[in-house]
Amino acid sequence: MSTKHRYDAIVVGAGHNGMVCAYYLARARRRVLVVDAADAVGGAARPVGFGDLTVPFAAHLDYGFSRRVADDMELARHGLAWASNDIAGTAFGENGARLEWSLARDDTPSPLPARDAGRWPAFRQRMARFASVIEDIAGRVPPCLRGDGADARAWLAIAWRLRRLGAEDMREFLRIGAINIFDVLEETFDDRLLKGALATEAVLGHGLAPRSPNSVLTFLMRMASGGAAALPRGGMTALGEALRSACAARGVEFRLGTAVKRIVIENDRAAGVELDDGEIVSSSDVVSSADARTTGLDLIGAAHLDTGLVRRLCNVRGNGCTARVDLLLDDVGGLERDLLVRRLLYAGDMDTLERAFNDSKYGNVSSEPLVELVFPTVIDPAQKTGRHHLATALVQYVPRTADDAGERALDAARGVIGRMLPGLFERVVDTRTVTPADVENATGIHGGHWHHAEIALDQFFMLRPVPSLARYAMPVAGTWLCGAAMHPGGGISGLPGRNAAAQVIASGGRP
Amino acid sequence: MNDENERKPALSPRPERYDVIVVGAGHNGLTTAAYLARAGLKTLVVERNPYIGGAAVSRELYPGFTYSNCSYVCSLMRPQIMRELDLPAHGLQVIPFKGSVTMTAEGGYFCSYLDHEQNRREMARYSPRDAEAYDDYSAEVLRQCRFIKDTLLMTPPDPVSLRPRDIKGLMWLGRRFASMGEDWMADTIRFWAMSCGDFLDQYFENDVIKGHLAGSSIIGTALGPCSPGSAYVLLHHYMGEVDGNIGAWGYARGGMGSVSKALAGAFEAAGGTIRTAAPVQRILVEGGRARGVVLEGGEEIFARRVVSNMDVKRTFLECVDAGDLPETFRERVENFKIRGSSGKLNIALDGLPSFPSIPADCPARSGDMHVSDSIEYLERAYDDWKSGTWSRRPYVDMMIPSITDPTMAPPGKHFMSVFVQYVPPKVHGRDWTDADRDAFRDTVIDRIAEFSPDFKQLILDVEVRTPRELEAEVGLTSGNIFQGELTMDQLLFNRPVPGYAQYRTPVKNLYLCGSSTHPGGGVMGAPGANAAREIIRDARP
Amino acid sequence: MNDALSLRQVLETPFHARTSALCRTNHWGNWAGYTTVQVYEDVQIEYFAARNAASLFDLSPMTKYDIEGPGAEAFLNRLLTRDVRKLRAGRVAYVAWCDDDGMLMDDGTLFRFDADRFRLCSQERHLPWLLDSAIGFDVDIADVTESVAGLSLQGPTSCEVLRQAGCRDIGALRPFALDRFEIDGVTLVISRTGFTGDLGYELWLPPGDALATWDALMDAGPLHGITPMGSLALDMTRIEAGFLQANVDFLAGGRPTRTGRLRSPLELGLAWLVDFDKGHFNGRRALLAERDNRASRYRLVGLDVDGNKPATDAFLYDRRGREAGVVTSAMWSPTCKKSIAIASLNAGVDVDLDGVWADIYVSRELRWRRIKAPCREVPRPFFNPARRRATPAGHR
Repeated sequence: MSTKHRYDAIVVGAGHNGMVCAYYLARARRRVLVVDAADAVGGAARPVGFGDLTVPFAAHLDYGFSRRVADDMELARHGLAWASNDIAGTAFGENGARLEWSLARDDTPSPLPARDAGRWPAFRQRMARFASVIEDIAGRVPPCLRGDGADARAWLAIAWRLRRLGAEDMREFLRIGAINIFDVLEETFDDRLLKGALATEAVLGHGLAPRSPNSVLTFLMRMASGGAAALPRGGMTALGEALRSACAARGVEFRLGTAVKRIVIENDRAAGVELDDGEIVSSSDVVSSADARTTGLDLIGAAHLDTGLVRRLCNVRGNGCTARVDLLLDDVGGLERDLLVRRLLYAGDMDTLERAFNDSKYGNVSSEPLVELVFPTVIDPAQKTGRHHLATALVQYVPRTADDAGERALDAARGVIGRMLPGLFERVVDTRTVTPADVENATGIHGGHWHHAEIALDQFFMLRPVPSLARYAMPVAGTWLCGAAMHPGGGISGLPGRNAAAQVIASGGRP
Repeated sequence: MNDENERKPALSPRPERYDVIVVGAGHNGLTTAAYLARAGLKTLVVERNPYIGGAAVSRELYPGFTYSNCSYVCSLMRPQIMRELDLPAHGLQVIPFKGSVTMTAEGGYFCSYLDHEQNRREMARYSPRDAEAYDDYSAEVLRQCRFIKDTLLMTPPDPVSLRPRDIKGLMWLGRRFASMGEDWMADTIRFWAMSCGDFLDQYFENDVIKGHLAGSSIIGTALGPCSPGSAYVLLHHYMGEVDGNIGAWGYARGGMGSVSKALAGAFEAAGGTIRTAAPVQRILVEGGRARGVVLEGGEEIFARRVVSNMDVKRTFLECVDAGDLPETFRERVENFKIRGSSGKLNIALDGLPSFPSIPADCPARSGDMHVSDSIEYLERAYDDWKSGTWSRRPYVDMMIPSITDPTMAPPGKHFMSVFVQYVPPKVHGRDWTDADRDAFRDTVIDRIAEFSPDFKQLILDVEVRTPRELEAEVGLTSGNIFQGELTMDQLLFNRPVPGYAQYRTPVKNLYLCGSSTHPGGGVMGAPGANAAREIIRDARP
Repeated sequence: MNDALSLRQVLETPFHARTSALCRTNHWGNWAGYTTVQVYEDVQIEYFAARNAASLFDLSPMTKYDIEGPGAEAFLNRLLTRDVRKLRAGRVAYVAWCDDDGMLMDDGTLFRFDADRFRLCSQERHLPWLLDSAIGFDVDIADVTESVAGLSLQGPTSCEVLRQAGCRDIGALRPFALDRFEIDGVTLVISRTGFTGDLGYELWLPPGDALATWDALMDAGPLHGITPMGSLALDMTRIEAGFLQANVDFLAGGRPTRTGRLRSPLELGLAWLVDFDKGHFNGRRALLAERDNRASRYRLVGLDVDGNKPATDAFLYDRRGREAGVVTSAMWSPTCKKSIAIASLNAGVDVDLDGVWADIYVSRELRWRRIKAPCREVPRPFFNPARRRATPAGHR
């Protein structure tokens, strides 16, 4: 099959998962082409101009790019360095209350009442132990629920991993694993701001509120990827550059500025892709980093899929609820300098988050949203490529379907940020907003969700994005999925790309 | 007052030693007691109230009217229990009722019918697609019911334990699960993890239809229909059966007290004794073993084993000394979630109220009637609860059992049971006051009156039951009707406390048999039967 | 659907005024929410009318979906297991469709009116499945069950009846063809199709014209022995014809609540309906795997059962007493003069080699007997007259 086709694999989309997948395929000596409609690599982290600065299109911070993938790809050698590998957080509450914390470190958040401070270490350590189980699961290709020996062994390995927690921990894991972070935090802590900050970590980027079951899972996912919030030197776009460079060094070819119109299928098998100019590039495998629904319905086409699967693809829950707001600042003088190098959260308390979520349930932008604010040009002076400074904020909840979502998100953020850093908005010379609808339009991610598909128990592991696709293969032979909709999903981790590549390689073929 | 189930307090018997004392004559306590007595154990049931039944009671709170003033429908009661305890011979009769109806804000109605095609045509008025998707939906829900039904009457195996019995139980569950095949296994896990709203969205497009079906996913829970984990509560509606008709609901003839009366009959026929108006103050524990109970007033009654029908909090935080419990256990009990979310209005009516939006000959008038015509309606009702107040536009489950069972009200008059959700256990963090209760009552009555112009004039008497009243009278902590929320952390081997889900407790010879234990609330008797099985196992010489 | 109709539990078909006048037994059944005649007068008489003269059957409750649009052919080709591209305009095909696992959801008839207009008739309802199958195709789907009334005129003289009623060229209509005709000023569609395995026609018309058409046929038919037929007699003819009945010989609808209840078309003797070479269709990959791995669990066969007692619902055993399968439909065939059955055999069972017998329980004046009736595998249809296929149509 190698001689017939120009490439062994074509990866659709030069987002981080596409490039990670391409890298592993190339490392296994596949001839790989990466195609992307945009002129630059990076997907949601690709560079766009904003005033005299370059900013990533939508990606905000690195919440845990897989260290293993970074090592495999030798990203450091390809120019990836960290301006900060853990931006410590400051949470703002009502009446000017503040709390400093980081999930990635053992340090006790402060200030905390004595009882909470006493409980913190045990809580964090236990959550870290639980997260290590999740981390184990995240690195696996999901086994079939009822499969042959290998699947059964995988399940036993997971059960054994759980058992190794010890009886007490295992009981607790089984108790809280499927519930909400609200109840867990209420059981443990008194400090409202601490609970608000921790709950924020659980819900950021997800269509959940603290009281929504599943939020313990998302919290553990966050912990499993280290719990840090990092910023590459040169910004999130630098990550894409490093990935591209690592791929290129392995001989991966890139075609940018060219959209893939469809995946060409012959005799129920992938044969290549058709580009938007009509050119057909042949390949024995095609790996799509687009979300599962887009891949299935737009690239492969419903005619090649069974109705039951189409139905399931249409039911994948993945409506984004997080917007990005960029503020171009003429200067940051006069602002509280210490804060500008931190991750600033407006979480209020868990009730504030819950109320913010309530608005979004009915299609409205939260009037008092959750905001995560950082100053990339202050944390990383290398990013200050012009006269201006940059502040960038995540604003949640901004439903995909809300009217004037961008303006409303900006208005809502203005109110909240004004309370955190009075005077900031007087320095704003330009703004830029990216709503879930913008993400959908610009990247083709259906729903514009960070994770392509909501991370929840019903869309987790062997159920992600839909049960029959959890093993990265589409039913048409030679077509694969490697995007964030695939296990383990999760922002920018690179793991879906890595796991998918492993499956493509394991499927046989060459070399 | 002449309550159906009211009994004269038995004369204080001479100090007598029992095999088992059951604390609380709720339906589960009586179920356990009946099984124990039939197994030859000398069993005493002590009940705080002057009447038996707990929340399954029929009371004459207004002259001539029988109030099923807490639980109000009957079909979850496990057929196996009815049969084993011979409840029909002790007077239990369950009469199925016809369908249910939702009145819409626009003045329309949507009806469920027992007849398949009629039901489909009714749905087709709102959406032809949904009308046919309903079959797919029902099949999926029934499939889930089939799986879960067999687990109701099993003692949950402990996944952490390595005892043969637990491993066997887990393997049995695993095999049953695996026998479904890959796709259904996946769908089963998804079903348990999903929100009701998302689950319904997979099948239906119409808001009214979704709102109508979603009602049964919130009853008794502290979740909204959009909260993950609410889908499986839909099963409650389908798990019921009347004479093998799965999904059918019925009234207990003579009100819910008939269930308790039949259970008590079965118990007493097997030689058991019930003492009403005998409030237990404390469970006697000596050397880590339960020895009996102390009644208010100081009387001590001794027994080899004590079974508590009270919820886990009331049992361990109020009736057992902290010193007799391991600290972690006590902490878990303190953290047990048991927030109330519902309330009830019991109304004596001078006649049948009119509901102009429902056609006069619609048979569903004798079933349950709702006014929640969308998922959003229910979710907003939940938002109010989250913020600490009763729903301004509540979910109401109204029914007039006296249409079907004429024994419940004088001729021409009617008894109406209105289940209301959401109602918080505390109002903005403080205790309920009488003024709150009256305001709550008015909210509900005004809401119903929007759909029934003559409703207010027909009211003879209203009994209002907020979580405060449920706690004070029935003893349900925080007024939670299921003796504890039914969320993943409190189900199966996690209910009520991980490691203590097999009806035993850290105190030797002290057992739980109420809805705080697996499989939870609803008048099904399963916790009681399961607890009895474990007790008999322990009591075997 | 208006409010008043939704309050009615069972509806009446457009022919009710006539069928109810003729139904002397008052023996009614509920077919998909409509009250329909089980027996008008006598099952045997009605059966022999279909085999010997002409029978008239009201099939209005049949589920009918109109499928139209430029993508209709591609849509149906993906939905159904047959190659719809080969179905020419003016033709009808027996079709089947599967779920993702290759399990049969239902069978039915597909009418092609022209390039872009089709009608799919089936026993069960499938609107959500059809609509979801339409995602990605330019096609409109409408449920026309209530707006199209149907009559089935079957039997050797059926052609003569129609000719008498004014359809002059009816004799030229080939099997599985359809065309427009006029009866008494009413324009209607007639297809040479049916469920009896004999010469016969199905008439499709607006409900408003139902009574006039019924009357015209009954007026034209007396000399040709026209007799209204109820569902019980129809079922006899369909067993003789070897047709499968949804929810009798297989579970239709694709929504069982227990595992292992569905059957693939290969397991139901419908392999001839599955075209693996036409490109992708629902269930193709699963069916291909079943075929290539010889993974069929069952095999559907026609049986000739010894004796004269119908083997209804009988279990089948082999000579060593092991369970070999079950009978799904059975009857004494008055035309073939033998006891026939449609049965689902477990894979690997050979009726003749394994000595399969049917376990039949019969009551003779309340004394029950168990009959172990030996079976022989015979081809379906059990009854297959030449006139069924002849064009021009004749009654011999």
